[in-house]
Amino acid sequence: MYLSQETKQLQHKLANYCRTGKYESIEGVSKSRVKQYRRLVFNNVKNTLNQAYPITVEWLSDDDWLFLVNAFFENHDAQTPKIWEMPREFMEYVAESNFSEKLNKPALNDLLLFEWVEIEVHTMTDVQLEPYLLKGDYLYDTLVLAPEYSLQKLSYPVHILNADKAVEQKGDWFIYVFRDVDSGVVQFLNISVLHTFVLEKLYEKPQSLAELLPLVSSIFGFTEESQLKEHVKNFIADLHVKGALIGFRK
Amino acid sequence: MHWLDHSTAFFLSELSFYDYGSISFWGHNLSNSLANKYSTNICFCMKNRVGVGFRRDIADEFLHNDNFNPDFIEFAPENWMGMGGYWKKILDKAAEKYPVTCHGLSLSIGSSEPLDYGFLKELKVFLNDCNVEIYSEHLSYTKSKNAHLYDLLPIPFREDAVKHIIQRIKEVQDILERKIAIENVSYYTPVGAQMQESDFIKSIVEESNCDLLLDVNNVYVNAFNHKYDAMQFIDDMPLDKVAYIHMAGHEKVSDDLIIDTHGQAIIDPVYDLFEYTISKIKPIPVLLERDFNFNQFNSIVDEFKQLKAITSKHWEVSHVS
Repeated sequence: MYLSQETKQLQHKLANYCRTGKYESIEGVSKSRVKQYRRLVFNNVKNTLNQAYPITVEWLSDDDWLFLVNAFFENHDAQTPKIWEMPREFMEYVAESNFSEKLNKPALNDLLLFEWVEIEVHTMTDVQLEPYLLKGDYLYDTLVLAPEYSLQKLSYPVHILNADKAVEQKGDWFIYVFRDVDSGVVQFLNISVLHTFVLEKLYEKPQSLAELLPLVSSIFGFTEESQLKEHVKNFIADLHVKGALIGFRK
Repeated sequence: MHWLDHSTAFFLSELSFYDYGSISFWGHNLSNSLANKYSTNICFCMKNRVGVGFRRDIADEFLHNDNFNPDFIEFAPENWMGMGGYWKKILDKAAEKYPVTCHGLSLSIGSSEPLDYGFLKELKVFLNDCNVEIYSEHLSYTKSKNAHLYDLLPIPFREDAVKHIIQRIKEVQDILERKIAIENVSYYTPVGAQMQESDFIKSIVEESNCDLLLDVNNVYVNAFNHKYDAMQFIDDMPLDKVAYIHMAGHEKVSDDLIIDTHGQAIIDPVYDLFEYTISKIKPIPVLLERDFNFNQFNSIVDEFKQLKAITSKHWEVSHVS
C-alpha cells in the first residue's frame, strides 16, 4: 500500500462531503467549486432512485422522499458496482431501518418491493430452457412456465390499489411476476395462496397437474377433487393466455 | 451517467470509451514480435475509425437507422453485466453489428481499499463474451470507505497516489489479461495537489505500461477551469501512449466554470483542440460521447460526421500505406 494516511484522508473527506453535504475543510480544495461534486454525486443517486421508484416518489411527499434518499446515501455503504442494482440496496435499507413506521407509511416497504421486483424480473439473467412443445394437455403434460419470475407475498395490496387505500386492506396478498419470453415485458398477476403454492411446486420441479394435484389437495384439505382439478386447470389455462405458461413436455 | 427507461420502471446509467493504437490488441501476453505484428495491422485497420457511445435511449438508431453508421460502439460494462431480457437482446444485436469497446465506471482505480476481485472476475468474463476490443477506465475514484458513490471523484495529484495507482493498474491488467487504457478526467477543484496534473498522468501511464485514453474535451474543460494552456497540456502528454480519444460536449455554468456533462454539442474550440491533437499522433479510434439530450438525434449524426471528416483530413492523407 503506497497511499499515505494523509492522501487517504483527503479522499475520504471529499467522499464524505459528497455523501453528507457537510463540508469539513479539505486541503487545496475550493469550497465554492467542491459544491459541484456534492450536487453531481447526490443527483446521480437521487435520479437513479427516482427512476427506479416512480410510484413511491409520486406517493410520498417531496420532503419524505428526500429524507429517505439522504438517509440512505449518508448511512448506507452501497456495495454493488452496478448503479442499476443500487435501488435494491435502497429498498433493503429502508425496510431494515423501519422508516415505514417512522414516516407512518405502513405500505412503504411493500410499494418499494413491488417496484423493485419489476426491475429485477425485467433484468434478471436469461434462463436457458430445454426444448418444449407449444401445444399440449394442461392436465397430463409437464408444464413449462416462463423461467424468469418472482413470487412475492405482500401485506398491503399496493399492486392493485393506491398505497394509502391499500393500508385499509391489510392481509396476505400474493403476486406472481413473470417476464414474457418473447417481448421481455414484465407482467404482474394477483393470485391466491393456492395459486402461489401450485406455482412454487411447478417451478421447484416441473411436472403435470395430474402429478401435482394430490399434494395440493392434501395440503389445502380439498374433499371435492374434481372441483380443485377444474379450478387449477382454469388457472393454468389463464396463465397460458397471459404468456406465463409457455409450453409443454410430454 | 444516466439511466433510462423501458416499459414502466426501468433505467440505466452510462458513460463511455475505446482504444487500439500503440502496441497492443490488448495482447497483454503477446510476445513482442506478435505485438508488433498486430501493431502494424491495427494501425492500418483502425485508421479513421469514429465510434459513438451506445445508450439505451438511442439504441434503435444504432440498430435501424441506415443513415447512421458508426465504426464501433462503446458502453459501460457495469450497465450491462449480469443483465438478461430485453436489454440483453438489444446488446447482443448491437454487438453483432458493431465492434465493441467498453469504458468502465466502477473500478475505482484511485481508491485506498483493495480492488474488487469479484467484480474484476465478472468483468473479465463479460469483456471476453462481448468480444470487447478495448477496455478503459477513469483516472479517478468512485469508492471510499467501502461505499460506492457512482461518480468520478478527483484523486490528489501526489507521488504516493501515483505509485498506488501504478501498482493497481498492473494488477488489473494481470487479472484481465489485457492492457487497459486510462482516461484523464475533468475535475472542478484540485485536492491536496503536490504536482502538476500532466506530470501525474504521464508518470502513471508511462510506469504502469497502460495506454492513455485522451479525452480532449476534458483537457479543454480543465484548462478553462484551472486556467492553463490546453495545447501545452496536450504537448505534455505521453502522446506515443495515446491509444484512443474521447470527444464530448460540456456546459458552461458560470464565467469561470465548465461542467463536463456529455449532454451538449461539441463546441468549436474543442474541435480545434482535437485537430491540434490528432495532427500529432498516429491514427487511433475516436469516440463521440453523448449521455443525454438525444431528442435532436440528427445533430449527433452531424457531430459524428464532423469527427469523421476531421480525422479523414488528417489521417487518411498522412497515413495511407
